Amino acid sequence: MSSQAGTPAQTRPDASAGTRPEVLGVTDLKQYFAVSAPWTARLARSAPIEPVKAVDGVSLSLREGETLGLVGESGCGKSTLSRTIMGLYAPTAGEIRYAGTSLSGGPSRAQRRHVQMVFQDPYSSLNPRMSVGQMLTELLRYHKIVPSAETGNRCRELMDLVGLPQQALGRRPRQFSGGQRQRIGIARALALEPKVLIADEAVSALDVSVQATIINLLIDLKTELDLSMVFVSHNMAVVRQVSDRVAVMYRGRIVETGPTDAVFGAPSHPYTKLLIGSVPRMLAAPTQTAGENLADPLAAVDGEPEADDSPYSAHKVEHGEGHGCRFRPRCPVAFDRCSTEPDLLPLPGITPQWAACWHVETPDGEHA
Amino acid sequence: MTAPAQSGPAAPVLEAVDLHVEIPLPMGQLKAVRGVSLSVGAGEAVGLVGESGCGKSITLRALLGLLPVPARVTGGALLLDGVDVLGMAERRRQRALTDAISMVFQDSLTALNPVMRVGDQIAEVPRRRLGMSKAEAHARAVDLMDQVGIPEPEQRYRAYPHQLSGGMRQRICIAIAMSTEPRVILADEPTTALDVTIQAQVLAVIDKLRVERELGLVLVSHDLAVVSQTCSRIYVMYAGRVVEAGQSLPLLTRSEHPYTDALLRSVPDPDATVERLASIPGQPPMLVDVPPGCAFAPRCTFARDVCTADPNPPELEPVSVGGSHTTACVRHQDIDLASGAVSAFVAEKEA
Repeated sequence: MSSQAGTPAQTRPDASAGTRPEVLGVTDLKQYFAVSAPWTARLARSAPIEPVKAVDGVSLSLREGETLGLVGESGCGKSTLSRTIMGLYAPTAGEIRYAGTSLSGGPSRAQRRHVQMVFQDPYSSLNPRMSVGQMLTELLRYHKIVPSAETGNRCRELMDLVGLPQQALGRRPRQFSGGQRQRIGIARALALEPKVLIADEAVSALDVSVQATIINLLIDLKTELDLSMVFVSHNMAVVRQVSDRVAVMYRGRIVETGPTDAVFGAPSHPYTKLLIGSVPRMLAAPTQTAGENLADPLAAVDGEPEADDSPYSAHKVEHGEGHGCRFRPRCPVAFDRCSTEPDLLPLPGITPQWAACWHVETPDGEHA
Repeated sequence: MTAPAQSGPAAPVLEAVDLHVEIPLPMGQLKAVRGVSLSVGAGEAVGLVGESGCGKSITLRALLGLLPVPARVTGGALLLDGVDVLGMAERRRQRALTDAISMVFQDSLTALNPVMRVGDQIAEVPRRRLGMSKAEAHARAVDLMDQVGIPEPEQRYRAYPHQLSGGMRQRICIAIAMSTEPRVILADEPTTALDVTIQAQVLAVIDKLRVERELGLVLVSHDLAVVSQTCSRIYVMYAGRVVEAGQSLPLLTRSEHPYTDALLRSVPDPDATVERLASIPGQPPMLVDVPPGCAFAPRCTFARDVCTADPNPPELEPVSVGGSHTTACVRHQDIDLASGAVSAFVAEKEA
């Protein structure tokens, strides 16, 4: 990790992605969820509870043929963000663009077809009462992808594409293993010939050896079909293998983004450093990675944001307007400027890397 | 955190010998565990790794007599301080096992009682089993919460599980496990449900207690990196059997079983990008109808006729004469696995 820190980080071989046009983008996207007050609070007529700001001002841009890795811990808003982009939630504020046109007011059927999703759980995301063939045929007919007479052929092609035998079309999801089900999930997403694939923790439920085959399949399909992909995961090592660029999310905002090797090789935001440092390494002494050298006393005992309504919460909705940087309570290098929340600031250097940390502008030796 | 304890020749606290567990199913007996032998000594941390369905969790539950209902132990011995407990009457066996062994589960939210204050859940065992008074048990619970690193334990004593974060809840589970003053802790994927930044802290708590109290620890995990950091010895399981066992460092750097090697290669590296991840073709066998010989042979790139010639599964045999590193690969002397991903990692580190 440290060996790359000094040298300019290399971008992935797929450098052409840098010059290709944007296929999907969001600007200042916000997704708030209202929380109903407990009856005790209503009785006491206490102040209304603030909404949960699952996504709190995110801007992203995905270019054609590119894979963007979206990483963060549970509750950081990465799944909400991908679901909002899919049109599964109506955004509270902000704009979603597909191929240059705004999708405000919800995507049309044609636009919806072009952005497809692969879900995490290969057990609950497939209809147990439909055979694989029925699932695919329904999609092909509804969206009129191919002439009716061709649907059978197209189904068989899709099975070939994801590496399943053609007999699979007659079977129901329960007759498949986890890895095979995830292949069905991918076939279902690809049936609509999408331009963008959103993989939300698509390999998290799988064993490592199976995980590797699905990752390889996704990478192959991306090249073969010239897809763009948003790869959402909490697993840093997997994201590193798959992505051209990464965006690190913390509590509803992107705190760092840049080319994968640059972010992993020389993370700039203290949270990114903590996240990458915490990944257990084979045979390494745990203390090296436990984050003790990075984390403050609070993080050492209570690094995790607790439920916002918990009376024991150390981080009770104290971010957002007027509360400063949201990582501040856990940050080992917080200083006075952190009382205002930074936007993504460009890092000096040739790689386009940004971090939402004031230390980018105020290098104090360590961050220079 | 201290280095993993050396496994001495001292007598193991808990030992399983040729343990068999079967689950009756409509289509036949599912042989979930097919002759597993393992041991853990005082202050020793051993890891049990393998992919889902390999029998690692069932083995762990069998050690504590906590098998889910239709499953039962059909063979072998379970020795606690050298005394076979499986021959004991049901009640005596449960008492002997639960006095000596505690368990930490993967999902802290379902492991805890949602309508009971967490402190009371910790105090329950000292009250009932150790016969403490209410005040003594309360003080003990607060003390345990302090030891597992819960800030403001007096206040949090009154919290309900849903009010605590995942990391805090898992610490409560560890405190409950410690409340019986056990000699062995069985931990079933204790950090799998936690975020990476929290995982290291919870592992550090378990390791601190192990060292301080000379606890034996059996850690079940699918994450080889976690096990490699915590445990001094590792058992690798495949299709209900241990296929390789030994000290962590030699086992992970010079694996002598193709399955261990393939597993290590398929783990993505957070510090480097590879052209293509290695994967293991095929699927593990159905344990209702286990193929003859080595169960990994159908997926193994090194398999020859000799691997399936003997209908019985291959036994573990030492890699070198008198060594503690054992493998169940009959061809281990003919094949060279030395180019594993971890070997490369270690070589790079030493350079």
